[in-house]
Amino acid sequence: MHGRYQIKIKNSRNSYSFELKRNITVLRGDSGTGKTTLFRMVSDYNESGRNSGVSISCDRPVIAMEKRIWETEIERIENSIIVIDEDSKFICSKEFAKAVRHSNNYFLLITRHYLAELPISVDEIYILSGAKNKKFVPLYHEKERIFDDVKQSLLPFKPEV
Amino acid sequence: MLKVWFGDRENAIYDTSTFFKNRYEDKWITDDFAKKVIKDIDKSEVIDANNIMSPVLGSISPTSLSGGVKALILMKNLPGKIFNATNCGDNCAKWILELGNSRNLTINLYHVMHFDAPSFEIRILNHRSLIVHNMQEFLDAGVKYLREDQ
Repeated sequence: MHGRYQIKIKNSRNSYSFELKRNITVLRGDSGTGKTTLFRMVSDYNESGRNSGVSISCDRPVIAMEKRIWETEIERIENSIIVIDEDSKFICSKEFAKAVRHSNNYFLLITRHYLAELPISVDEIYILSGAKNKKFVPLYHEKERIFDDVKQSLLPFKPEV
Repeated sequence: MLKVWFGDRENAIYDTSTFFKNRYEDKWITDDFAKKVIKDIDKSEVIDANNIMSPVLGSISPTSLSGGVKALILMKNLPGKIFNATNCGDNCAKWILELGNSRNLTINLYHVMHFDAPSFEIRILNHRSLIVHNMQEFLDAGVKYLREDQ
């Protein structure tokens, strides 16, 4: 898969509207913002389709990954958007990183984990914004890319904590 | 005192939502701490042990609380166990510090949680004697031990 995919997921109480641009997108942020609700709505839709009461609009299938059978599922699923909820420890593993490299799916990871094995772009880390109508908002607004033409004023680099 | 272990730790409860679903008790939901964290983090009101009113989800059961709230309620009521606090957002950090100020509490972290306080005392268990006192020291410890764990 390549390119951008617009996704809309809604039921009577919540709607999510976001765009995925790369193969790995991370969703994190405060507790209580609706991250797991998004996952559950996708899971309900996977189970019962429109009869679940959830509607999903996307050019590709959107699939909530079941933790227990992730290895076989990643091999089986193609050209889809796979959503993985927090509490999924396998995303830290070398095996998952290898599976992602060989996969033609896009992955939406709901996690705060430090993930050394995955090539995650700082541009593709988001939080949820909004109450009933939720959107993905970039977590990092100000980025200085420190390579090649380095601004001397940035050195020595001391992150604000 | 609050104690933190960065990275994998034997006997730590990783999937706090599933553990909560199977182990929570009614009295945990109706106590003052639970009511406060449910109000602060989930913006919801506890009606009774089986009914919480959420402005977004409507009437919900405790199993539909956010992952962070469930983890906090577990930390409060089972202080002898070690829970994965990476299931908690930064908006849970002050509650974790409060619990750590009133008793010994050990948590497991896979990321650097932001404790929005000018100073604190947190024992880093990955080192035999390290106590950190502010976010800069906590960040340094987290980066070091999370990288070692990976």
